[in-house]
Amino acid sequence: MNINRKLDKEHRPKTTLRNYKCFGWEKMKVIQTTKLTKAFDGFIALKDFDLTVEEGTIYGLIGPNGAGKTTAIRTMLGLLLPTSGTATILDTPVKDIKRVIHRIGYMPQDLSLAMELTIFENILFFGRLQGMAKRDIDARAEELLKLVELEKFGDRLIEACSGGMRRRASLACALVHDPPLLFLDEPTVGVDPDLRSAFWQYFRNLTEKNDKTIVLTTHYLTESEQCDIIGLLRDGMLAREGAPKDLKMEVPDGRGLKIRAPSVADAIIREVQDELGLQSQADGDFAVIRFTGDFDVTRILEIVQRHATTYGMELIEPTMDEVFSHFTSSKGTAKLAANQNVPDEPEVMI
Amino acid sequence: MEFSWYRVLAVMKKNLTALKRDRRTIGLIIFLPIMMMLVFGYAFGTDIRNVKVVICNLDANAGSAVLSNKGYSFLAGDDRLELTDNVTTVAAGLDEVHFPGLLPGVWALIVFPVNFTEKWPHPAPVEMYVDGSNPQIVAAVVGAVTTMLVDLSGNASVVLYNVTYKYGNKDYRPVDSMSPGILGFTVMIFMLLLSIVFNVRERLSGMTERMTATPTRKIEVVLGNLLGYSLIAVLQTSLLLLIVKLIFNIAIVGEVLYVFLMLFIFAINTLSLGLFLSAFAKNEQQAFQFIPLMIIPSVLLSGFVFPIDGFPDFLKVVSYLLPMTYIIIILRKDMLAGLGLQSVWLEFLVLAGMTILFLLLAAIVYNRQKR
Repeated sequence: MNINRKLDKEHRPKTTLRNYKCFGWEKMKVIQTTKLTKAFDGFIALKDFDLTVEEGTIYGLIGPNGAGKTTAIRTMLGLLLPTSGTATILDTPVKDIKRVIHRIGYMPQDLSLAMELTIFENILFFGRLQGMAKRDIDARAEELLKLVELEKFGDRLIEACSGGMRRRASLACALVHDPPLLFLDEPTVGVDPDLRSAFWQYFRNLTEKNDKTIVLTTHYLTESEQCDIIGLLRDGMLAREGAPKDLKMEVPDGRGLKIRAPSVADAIIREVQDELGLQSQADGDFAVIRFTGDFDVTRILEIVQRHATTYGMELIEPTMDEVFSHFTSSKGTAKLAANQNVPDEPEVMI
Repeated sequence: MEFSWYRVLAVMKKNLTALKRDRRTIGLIIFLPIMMMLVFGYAFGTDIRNVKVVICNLDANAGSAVLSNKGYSFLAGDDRLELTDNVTTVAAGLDEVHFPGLLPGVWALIVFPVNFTEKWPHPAPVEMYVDGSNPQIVAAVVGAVTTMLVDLSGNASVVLYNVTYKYGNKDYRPVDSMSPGILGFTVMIFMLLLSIVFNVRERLSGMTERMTATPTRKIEVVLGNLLGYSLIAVLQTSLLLLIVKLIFNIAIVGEVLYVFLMLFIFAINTLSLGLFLSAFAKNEQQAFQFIPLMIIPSVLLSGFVFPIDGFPDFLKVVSYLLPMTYIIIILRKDMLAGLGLQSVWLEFLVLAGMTILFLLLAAIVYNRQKR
């Protein structure tokens, strides 16, 4: 935690015991929701949603379509009134969110740009709504257009832009006032992989070096690995939450060793199954041994060394798809897979 | 967040830039008033020509008759009228009571009073004895005389005339009032279209919600929308008045600027109403349905086509709930009688009050979808 973090003067936290902590030992809780519930005409979109997001993290809300990701974001932004429960954003109850809204950037899922305006004019417009002077916006727009690789297209009308360009322009608009807290609803949809990884690098940079906090949704599961914490949403409920690497440890037989030991692979497997009771199988020259979490690998290696003096070894980690399927229970797995395995092929950009 | 005009202007600028690029809407802004004026203008009798009238000039009986003669030749040159005779020999003292009636085929008798020239600029009013059975013809006669008087005086406030109905119902005189109604109607239809459709489109695109997630206040967005569109209203109102003057030569007895201002207030009124109503439309189709809903009562019940006095009481209530009713009264008094604000201050207050009410309502229900 960076003690020298620049605190917005106006919103310097009151010096209560709890807030003293945020300077020293504990990271400040930027978002805290308790039993947040949102029902639409009897349909429960979000149920008992408890979320805590600490400063300087990227929090990814992951879930299939209709899981409540967008509802969660909109409720936390005060755009929807919660049916019950509370949410505190930047130390402010969500009903008073207007007090701190200038410190929040929001990129909605749908287009939300003025179609008849150019990319630059849209940035200018949102900058002005934030009360920024034209001169400052100009400078900032140049930076942002470079970031989203649209520096040559500032004068293009939104209606003439491709889907991916619109998403990028929308991201630029959300970032214009350099807010400490960002809500990004599907920021990387329709953005090609190179630029997507550039975005992630930028996000990391924002959170690690500048203490910004980002809450985002994504349905690219591979990408969710880059979040500090992910929350797995299903049917409006937070099924599980944690750091991707921790969650991976919990997938049963999710991790494994792939050992190249020609001719002795079968023998190794037999002994591993007998002695350690681990699920394992031969795959040609390879023995694939599965285990859960931080199983003591040396016990496997002892067995291996009995049979082979030289061998190759590779550690297997569960994919995020496996993590996701595991934590969002079995009955919906097929449906989830259908929704989640969006091909990572880039959308062709013009 | 404090209210800030900076954001209001940002919203306004955004709307104007968007509108500027919307060629079809610009076309509509320009051609809609022209089309409306043509349709209404021709349908409602501005093309009445060669109405037979008799002019009686009593002015010549006492000294100089320079002005009345000038007026006479002006009327003779007006192709709305056809002069059958210049009755200069009728005895002085002719008045409404003694007037024997119109000759067959003659629609009106126009009388220049005694000492019209001498007492200028404060003469007795020009008297018109008209056959009121055809309101459109009466309008043509009154229009011709009004134009003549404005031409003579060069100053609208001097103009005085009296109209006496020899036949027909004196109360039934929608005619004089046609042009204010047309002006109001044209402004109304376009402003409703603009505010309802654009606002719903903005909400559907997610812009409304996105703006809500910024320090912007509802009233700032509503005011910004209003200001942006009201500039369009200024443009359109000017165009309308220009057409009224140049193409149809409809007399405006009072101040043109006053008419313009009143129409502008009416435009803001309609815009606010449109912004308010648009909150209740889920999509553009629904938004469009509001337009006839507002337009039809405004045309039929505002006194534009039928006089309100003839309505049963329950309809009168509806009439007096319509902003259109008030703008018609306000414009009529000024365009036809040259009476400014002092004669219609109550109506003006009602109109202004309604405008503020709609504006506040629009701000309250803005982004009503929030649940």
